[in-house]
Amino acid sequence: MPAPTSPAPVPLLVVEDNKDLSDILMHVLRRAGFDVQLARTGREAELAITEGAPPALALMDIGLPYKDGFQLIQLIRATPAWQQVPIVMLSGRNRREDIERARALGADDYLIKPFQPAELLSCIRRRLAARSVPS
Amino acid sequence: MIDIQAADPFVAFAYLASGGIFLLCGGLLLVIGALHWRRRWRDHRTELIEARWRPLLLQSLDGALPEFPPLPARHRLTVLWLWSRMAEWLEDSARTGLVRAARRLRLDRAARELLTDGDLRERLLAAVILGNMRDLGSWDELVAAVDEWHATLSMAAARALLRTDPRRALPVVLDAGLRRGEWPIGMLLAMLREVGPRLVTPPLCERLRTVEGTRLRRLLSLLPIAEQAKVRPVLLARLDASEDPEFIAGALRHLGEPEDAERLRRYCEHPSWVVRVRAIHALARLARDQDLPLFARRLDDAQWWVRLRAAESLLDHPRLTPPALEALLEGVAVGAEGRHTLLQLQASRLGA
Repeated sequence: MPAPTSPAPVPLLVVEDNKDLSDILMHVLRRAGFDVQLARTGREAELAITEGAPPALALMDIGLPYKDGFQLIQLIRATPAWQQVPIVMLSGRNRREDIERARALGADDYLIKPFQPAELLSCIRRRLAARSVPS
Repeated sequence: MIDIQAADPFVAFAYLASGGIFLLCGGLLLVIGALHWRRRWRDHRTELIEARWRPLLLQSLDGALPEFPPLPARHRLTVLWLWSRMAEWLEDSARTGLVRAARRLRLDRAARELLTDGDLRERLLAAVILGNMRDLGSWDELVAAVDEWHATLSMAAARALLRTDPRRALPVVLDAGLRRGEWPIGMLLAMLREVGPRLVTPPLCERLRTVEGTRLRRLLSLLPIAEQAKVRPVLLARLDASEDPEFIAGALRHLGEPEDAERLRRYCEHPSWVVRVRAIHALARLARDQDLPLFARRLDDAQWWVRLRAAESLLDHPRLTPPALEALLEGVAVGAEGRHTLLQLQASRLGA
C-alpha cells in the first residue's frame, strides 16, 4: 500500500451502504492520505450534497437505500457548487447499459466490484490531477 | 372468584380453558422474548468479535501482517464469515494480504474442517473461502463436495476448484456439470467464462467427441464459451455421425456460416420435423436468394411448425418483394395449405 502522498488530506465523499466494503474503502483511502466522509444511504449523501462543502471527488455505489447512484449523479451535476466534482462509480453492476447511463448522467469513471485498491487509487489520483490542471 | 365445583359444567370448562389459554400465551410470550434476547446477544457478540478482528484484517491488506492475538476457537466461525465477506469485494490479486492473514490464523485449516464436518451453511462458507484462498491442500475434499447431493454446495465446491487450479479442475467440473441436470446451465456457463475459452476449449472438445445422450445435448449449451475455430470441426464431425434428432436440432443452433449452407439444406429434408424447423431457421439467417425455392417447397410440409418457419423465412427475406414472392409460389406450385400458412402469418403481422 503506498504511503500518504499529499501533506493536506484531500476531502473525498464515499457513498457506500455495505459495511464491509465501506470499511475497506475507508482504510485504503485514508492510508493513501485522503480525508474521507462516508454516507451510508442515498439520503445521507443527498444531505451532504445539498448542505455540505463539495469534496475533491465523490466515489459512489449505485444500489443504495432511498436514492440510487444515478439519482445522486444527477443531483451533484445539478448542484452549482458540486458541478465540477469528479464522480467515480464503484459498482457490482457490470452491464453496458448501467455503465453508459452513469457516464451519460455525468460520472467520470466506472469501476466494477470486486475491485483492485491500487487501480481505484490510480483512478482517483488521475481524476484529481485532471481537475487541478486549468482548462 | 368462581367456585368451579358449584358452577355450571360449561362455565367451569370455559373458566379452565381460558386459564389454560392465558398460561399458554404467557408461555409463548416468554419464549419469543427469550429468542429475541438470544438473537440480540448473538448479534452483539458477533459485533464485538468483528470489531476486534476487522482492523487486523484491514491492516493485512497493506502487505505486512500485523501482530495477531491468538484466535479462540469460539471466535473462529465469526472471523471466517468476516474474512469471506471482505474477500468477496477484492479482486484475486488484491487478496494476497488477506490470504496470508488467513493462513497465519489457521483459517484454512478451520475451513477444511467445516467443509467436511459442518452443517450445510458452514460447508458452503468453507467452499467459498477455500476457493478464495486457492487452497490446494483441500483439493480432495472439494472434489468430494462436487458430488454432494445439494446443488448449491456442489457448485460452490466446483467454483472453488476452478479458482484454485482451473486446468486441473475443468475435467471434474465439466463431467459433473454434464451429469447434473439440476445445475443451472447459466451458472455453469458463468463459472466456465471466468476460466476463459483458452483453457475450457480442449476438455470441452474432448467431451464433445465422447459423451452421449442427455450429457451430449447439455454440452451443446456450453459451446458458445469455447474457441469456435477449434470446437466447430469436432461439432460438425459429431453432427454428421449422429442419428439423434434432438442432438441434431440442438447442434444446428451453432451453425450459421456460409459454408454450412449445403449441410443445412440437407437437414431441411430430414425425417424429423424438429430438425427441419431448426435447419430452415439456421438457413434463413444466411439470407441467400438461392434458398428461397427450398423455403417455398417447405410451405407444403406436413408439419405446421415447419410450414410456419418456412413462411417466416420467406417474409423475413430482405430482398423478396411481394411480386417476386407470388412468382416464387407459382413457380414452385405451392399448395393451398402452404399459401394459407403464409396468409395467416401475413395477417398476424398486419394485426400486430
